[in-house]
Amino acid sequence: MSTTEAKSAAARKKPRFELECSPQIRGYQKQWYADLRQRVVEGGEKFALTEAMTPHEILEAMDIPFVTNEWWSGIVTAHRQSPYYFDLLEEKGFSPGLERYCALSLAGALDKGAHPEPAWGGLPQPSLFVQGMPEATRVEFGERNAIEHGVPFISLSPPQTGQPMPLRWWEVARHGWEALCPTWQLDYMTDKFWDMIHQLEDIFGAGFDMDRLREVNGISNQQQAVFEEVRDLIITAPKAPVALSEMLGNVMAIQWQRGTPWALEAAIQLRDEIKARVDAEKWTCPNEKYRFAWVGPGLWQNTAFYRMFEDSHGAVFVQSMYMSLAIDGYPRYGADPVRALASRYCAFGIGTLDWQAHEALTHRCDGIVTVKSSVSGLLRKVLADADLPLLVLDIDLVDARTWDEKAVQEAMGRFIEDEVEPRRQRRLAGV
Amino acid sequence: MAGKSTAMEEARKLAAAGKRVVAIIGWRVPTEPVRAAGLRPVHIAPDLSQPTPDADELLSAEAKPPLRALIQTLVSGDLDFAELIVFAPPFAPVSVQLEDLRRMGLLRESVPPTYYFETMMLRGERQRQFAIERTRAFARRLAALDGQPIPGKALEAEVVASNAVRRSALALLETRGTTSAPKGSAVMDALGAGDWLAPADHVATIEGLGAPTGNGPRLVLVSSSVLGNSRVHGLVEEAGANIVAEDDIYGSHFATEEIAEGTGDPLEAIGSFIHDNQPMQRTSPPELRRAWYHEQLRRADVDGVVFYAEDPIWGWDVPAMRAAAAAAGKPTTTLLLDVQLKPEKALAQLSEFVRSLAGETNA
Repeated sequence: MSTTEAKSAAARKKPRFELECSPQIRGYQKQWYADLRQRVVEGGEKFALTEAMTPHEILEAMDIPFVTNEWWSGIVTAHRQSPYYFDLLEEKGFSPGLERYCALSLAGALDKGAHPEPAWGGLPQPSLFVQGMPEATRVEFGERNAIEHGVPFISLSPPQTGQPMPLRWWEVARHGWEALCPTWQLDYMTDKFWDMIHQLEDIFGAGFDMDRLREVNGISNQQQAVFEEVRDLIITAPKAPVALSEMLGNVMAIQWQRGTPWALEAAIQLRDEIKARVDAEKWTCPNEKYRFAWVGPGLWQNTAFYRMFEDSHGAVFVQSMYMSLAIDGYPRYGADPVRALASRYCAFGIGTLDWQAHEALTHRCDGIVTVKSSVSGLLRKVLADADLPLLVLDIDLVDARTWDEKAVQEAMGRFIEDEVEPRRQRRLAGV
Repeated sequence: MAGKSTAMEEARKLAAAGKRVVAIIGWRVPTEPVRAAGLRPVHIAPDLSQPTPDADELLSAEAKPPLRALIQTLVSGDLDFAELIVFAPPFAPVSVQLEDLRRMGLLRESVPPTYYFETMMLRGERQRQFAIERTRAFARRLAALDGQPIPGKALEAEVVASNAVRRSALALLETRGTTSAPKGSAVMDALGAGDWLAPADHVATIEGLGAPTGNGPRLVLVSSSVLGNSRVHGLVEEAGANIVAEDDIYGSHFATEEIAEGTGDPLEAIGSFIHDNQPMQRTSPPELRRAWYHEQLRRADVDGVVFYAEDPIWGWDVPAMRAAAAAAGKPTTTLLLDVQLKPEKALAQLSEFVRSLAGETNA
């Protein structure tokens, strides 16, 4: 069976959306972008292109429109145009080993409008590129991206500490963030954020108001608190009220708009609908027997995978890093929102071992599934210590050519029979 | 310089002779405070020639060979003789992994404590102050090994000693602009011996270098990460050419500047120097990062450019740099592999490039 056929077969079995709000959330994104694009192209409005690991709340508070670079890559990829732009990057001399996924905005700039039907009309000319990841190669990429767009560049790359995150960081991150990272690191990043604010004032002619940032950050915190209520519903409901594959898109669409009234309202709508499903005992997999967490970045090449074993095994996926990170990694409270937001990027808990095990256990997962690139010996040990069986699939997260449905089904079937079910029996027997 | 194996051997010898060794893993860590504290700094680089069974077990399938090699070195106790292990970019992930292992009780008690030193890529006054403060903090950590502050006079003396090395290095580097330029590999080895030699011995090594003259086309080397060894230079020479300049702190940038002497605050002077002299690979903005390269393209005596990316995640600047070279009439070749892992393939590519240069010269 070809990759496409496999995906189609899996997709046919399940509706794409079970929640009424899902198509509305997706539709809002598209309309929001169309409106922004029109204002930029026809009205000459300025906007910033920013990486995901940057304080969007500050731009929001200054009424500066922005597009998230990673989100844009997702849109281009969803339109199946990434091969065109990857080929273009190689044609222009960029080596295939460079991290291409996040470079689709750069490829668009190099293409100079040559693609006949760019995704959602294409990305218009930004007025600024803001970069946030710490690696030198990411700074180099950001500078190149800014040069090719002909715009100023701001790097918010944080200095590294060489230390792992404190254990159980998620218990203190919301309010006690000052204790999560060294003062010298936080001081530097706070200063950098202030530098950025002044640059934004110059580039966009925008004003900065601390009370407005407090308000935006407050909305962002409220949204994550609503997400937390959703997580609690998923954790405490007898069975999963919503499919992980559907949640992935909803969570990310809302996250990219965090700090706006729309994002908060969308999160509330999502929560209310999921709560209604819990109250009505409407489950995504009525015959749910096994619950799983997915560790690491999502299986974007085939999200139908997450529902593939519901009918055959009663297996549902209930947890991934995306919503958990929104809830545990993003909220920052405190009187000084600039410093609070700076702390988020000094101490970002993504991928921490104890957090992954904690999340799987609190979601009552019977096992963990991931791919080779997301697992280390340390993770294996942490999961083994937590008595969480682990299945590692030998497939690529984004390259659909590596998909082998028969092999994946066999591996999952064996995993459930050989490891997950025996663990379940042990637990039922109180062993 | 013979890479990690030599540095490791020398470090072991120093420790066996009773010297107190600080192992440095990464680039641009100030060594003056280390020496002033009565310790011997030795730079340790990843050795990709050794098997990594423990690291393979601990790390993900995606972990790069240098990360595996360093973790293997550390967990197997090869650096247990050191009093302190200092990590610096680009090896923050190694430091994090090591401390995660320690926290989980998976590391032997004998593995020394670690410290992480980093200054920012971006240059500016805020970054300069940051570098100075990080240097002061590093000195405090070193002082804590003995429970007493590092004497200011000792620091001043070590600044003077470092500058003496830089002056002798500068004299050596200037010979590369002549028609009898020494072999690039010999220059790199002499400069790299500072990874373990005391400054006075390093000066003697540099000044005593009777390097044979390089042959063939004269090339500039631009590496995506700090070289730390002469492997690429050696392969270029085997291919029939000579590297006469490299965009690297182990080569042409070794002696770019000196640390200010007699300022009364040597730590401030050292921190300021570190800020001003980051490896080019870790310098921002790009105009500053690439200014030296564009100067080299204007040199009439340079015949071509070798770009080297041991890890292909690097190289966002390379297409623009290749275009600049083409505009300047300088042919280029790009090695997208680790010469430690694939020397034969690298040599074949370099040989073809050198032959093409010779063809152009003949034509």
